[in-house]
Amino acid sequence: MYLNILKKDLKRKKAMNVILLIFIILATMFVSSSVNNILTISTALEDYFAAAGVPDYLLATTGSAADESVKQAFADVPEITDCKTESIIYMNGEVFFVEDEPIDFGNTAMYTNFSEASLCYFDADNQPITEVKEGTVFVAVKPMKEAGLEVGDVLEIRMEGVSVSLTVAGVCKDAVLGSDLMGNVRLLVNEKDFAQFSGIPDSLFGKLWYVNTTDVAAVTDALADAKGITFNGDRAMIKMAYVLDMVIAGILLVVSICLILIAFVVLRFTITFTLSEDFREIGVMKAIGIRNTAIRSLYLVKYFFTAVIGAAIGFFGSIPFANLLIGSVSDSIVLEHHNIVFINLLCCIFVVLLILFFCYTCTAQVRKLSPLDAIRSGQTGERFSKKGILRLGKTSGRPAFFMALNDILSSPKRYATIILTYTLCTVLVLILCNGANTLRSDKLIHAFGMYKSDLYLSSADMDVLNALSTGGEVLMQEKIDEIEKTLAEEGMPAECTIDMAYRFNYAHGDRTFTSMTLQGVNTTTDYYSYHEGTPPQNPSEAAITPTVSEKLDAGIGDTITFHDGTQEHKLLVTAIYQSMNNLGEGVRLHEDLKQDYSNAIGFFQFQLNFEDHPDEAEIAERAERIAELFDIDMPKTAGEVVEETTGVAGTISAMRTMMLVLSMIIIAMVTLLMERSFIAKERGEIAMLKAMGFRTGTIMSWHSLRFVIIGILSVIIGAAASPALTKLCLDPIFKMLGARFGVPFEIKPLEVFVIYPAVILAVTIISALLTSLYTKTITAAQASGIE
Amino acid sequence: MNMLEVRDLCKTYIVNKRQNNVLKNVNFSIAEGEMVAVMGPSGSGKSTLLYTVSGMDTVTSGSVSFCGKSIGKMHEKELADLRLDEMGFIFQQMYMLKNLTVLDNIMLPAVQSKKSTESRKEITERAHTLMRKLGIIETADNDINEVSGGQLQRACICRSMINRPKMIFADEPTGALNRTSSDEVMEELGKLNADGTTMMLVTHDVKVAARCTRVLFIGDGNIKGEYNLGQYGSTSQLRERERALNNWLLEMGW
Repeated sequence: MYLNILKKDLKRKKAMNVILLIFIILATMFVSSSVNNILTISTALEDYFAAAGVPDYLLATTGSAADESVKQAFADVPEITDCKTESIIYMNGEVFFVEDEPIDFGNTAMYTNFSEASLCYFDADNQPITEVKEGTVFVAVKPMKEAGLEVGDVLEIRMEGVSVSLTVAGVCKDAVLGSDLMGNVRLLVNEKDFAQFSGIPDSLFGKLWYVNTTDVAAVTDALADAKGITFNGDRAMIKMAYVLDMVIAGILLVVSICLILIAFVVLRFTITFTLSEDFREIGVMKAIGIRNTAIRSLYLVKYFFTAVIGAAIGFFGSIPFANLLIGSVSDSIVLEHHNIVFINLLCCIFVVLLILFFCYTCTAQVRKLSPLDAIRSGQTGERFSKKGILRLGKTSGRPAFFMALNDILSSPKRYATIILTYTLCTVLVLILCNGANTLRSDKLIHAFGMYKSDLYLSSADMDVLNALSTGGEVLMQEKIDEIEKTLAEEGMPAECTIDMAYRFNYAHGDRTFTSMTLQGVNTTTDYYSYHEGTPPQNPSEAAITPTVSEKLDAGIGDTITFHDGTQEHKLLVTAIYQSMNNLGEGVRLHEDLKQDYSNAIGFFQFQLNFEDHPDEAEIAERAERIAELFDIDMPKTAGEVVEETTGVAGTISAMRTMMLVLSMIIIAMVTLLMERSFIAKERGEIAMLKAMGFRTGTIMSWHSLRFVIIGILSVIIGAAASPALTKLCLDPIFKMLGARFGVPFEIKPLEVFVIYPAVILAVTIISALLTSLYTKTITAAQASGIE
Repeated sequence: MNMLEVRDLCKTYIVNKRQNNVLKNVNFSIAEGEMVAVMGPSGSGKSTLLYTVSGMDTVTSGSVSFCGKSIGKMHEKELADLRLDEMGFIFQQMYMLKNLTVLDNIMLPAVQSKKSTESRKEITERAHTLMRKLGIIETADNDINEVSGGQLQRACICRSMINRPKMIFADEPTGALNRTSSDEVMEELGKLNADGTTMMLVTHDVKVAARCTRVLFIGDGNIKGEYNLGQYGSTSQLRERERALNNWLLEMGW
């Protein structure tokens, strides 16, 4: 008997059963792929680090003198269990060419001898690189993309009179230096190609030290006085450098959770809705004496089969869908699903069980239904509150709008499900939009410990590398003077400044910490922003970041000390500022504290502040003239510097686009299926209205307007909540990066309140209108024949 | 003057590639102020006849003219406007919009009508008058599932009357009602007819048909005969009219 009833049910209620099946397929796909992504992302970095063999401590040195210094420092550290090195050559400036055209990797390249590889490097297919043939090179992912290199291109290196041509064999994923934040350009070459540069100056050679230790602090302390260190950090710091990649992963996590939420909400709604269609049948079955348990089991059997079929189809769809989502996270990390088939299978089983649970709880109403419901289609007549809130006589709108609005107000629970789905989709898109815009915003420049200028000139193009030596301050000042003079002569009077970067080991009490240190040239400390205190007023004062404050347990009013190689300095902390440079570490020295430039590890961009305060268009025009004048790359604006520094705005924009497309698909599907369900349930009313003389257009408007109204409501809620939710979701990430006091988010009103809501609304309206066309198939003559 | 004029009306359905001629050259007319019942066995084409002559369904061939206008030549939108403004409908299934009150359901066609120049207040007053007339004024603000079947059908009659139609078409208007409710509803329809509203109704029920002025008997897709009962006067005549009608129906092979 069950089989016969089921067969009839499938035939008679084809539309509702197909809708239910589609929702089950979608739910299975969303849940399976999302759970897979959550599991993959939560263990991604640890898995990657373990596979690559990332050490406990990493050290980069320059020059052979540094080798001896580090070896000496490590000699008395018994906590070090293992120490390996890789020989590298630092390559800066215009040394790379493809087909005689110079290319820019955007950062110092590390030409690495693969035969000494202490790390496991991976190729594009996430397979370990086992060999680098002579005449070939593997290039890190990010620079490969930025320089527009492709596999098979011939990269020519011309440096210090040596020229080497290498064919690009592929990308290499470098676990220690490959994060967007590290931004180092790793070039893996054969030992013979490495040896071709053996004659270049010693200062260009360096080493990467991979240290495994039982006590990281002991290693840090041992290196306090070591010379020639350009970078040092522990495993935690290397991991933190992937925070921007993890931002993307985190966003995908949020997306995944939202997708699961949408899937469950919609599934529950569909089951309740389709079951309410069956009140009449339930009433009839009760009337002829079938027991409650038998009726419930009948529906359980029906939903079980539908769920199994839907979950099976969803299972096959979930694998490519999961790969599509995870593929958008990062190409710098080896990120692969483990046991995808097994996990997806478990999720499918879970979805089937969940559907049965929903069905079981929904069919609990069977007990309450009486044979009377067979006559009254589930309406018992016992109602204690009014359903409709609006009154036709007291409103002035057209009936279609009145009916649509009244329906929403009469069944708020039903429409709340759809509003929740639409709002979630809107919010997800807008958070990504705000995130991407913030990571391109000049407002963020202060969060990098810098101040906002009109233009930023790449110092690598300005031939000032030799300023990194004793007496270099004279050379640097001359360069600044030259830039100012040239600009003045060209009618663009500007002040030129630069920040010098050092790494000093600071002490406060018994605590020590090595921090990046900045000192402005041609600026004063009040150019920069501080969160607390006052800018350093004399050479014995300094500002520190919260990270340094915590590491040294020092605050405003405390005195910290550092040794610059010749003498010890005592600095009174007068201010706290935030910086996302090197994940929050930073000390800003007073400009008058004399420093030996040989201690500097580098410098930032030359910053130009035009004295005649030109507008944006004029600045853009001047940027072009300056690029020609100094034969350098196009100077950047503050926003462009932020975008380049963070490096993930593009990825987040791509995710936003993907999320927008995904949202559009979800909204279109939900609208189509929900509206189709409503039409199926309201066939009788539609036919009656047509019989009474309501035109098809009016009925289409009635059905579409419901979705338009809730669409408008959803995008208003989504847009209004998005600034607060952006802060809630993204502030913790910026805090991890070092912006402890939060960052000002770039909320572009046109995008957030107009463009994206309009796109989402347009999809809703189009989907609703197209679906409402189905009402054309219902004729007035059906008014007597529909139950 | 004839309100409805039907000439050589044919209606054919194609079911499973087989042609099903439901109506075959049907000819009849209904004069203004008449109350005509259509009777016949199940599947004889009664409801199809009602739907085709009221413009709810298309005609395969022949002509139907309503108030002198040929509805066969009308566009779908014109037909909709005609049904809204000049016709009223009552069905066996008492369809009403679930989320509206009884009053709002009744007012809806008037608010939708483009012909109407009345304000919402005036429409409300007219709906109240109709409801009062049919004895359901106390249900005005009720949800549709808070009233009885008889009250609901009377609300449907009010709705069919709200745009002051020239003619009401009713398909088994008492089919879902008990005898008492059925009598009450027919009493009201009789009063409306007495006030001048033309009616055509499809029914199986001799008691219902006995209140009409004329009965058409349809069988095998054609009008087999018609019986003129004359104007219904009072309840005392009803028994006699029923007996006469029953005898005629027996003659027709009912």
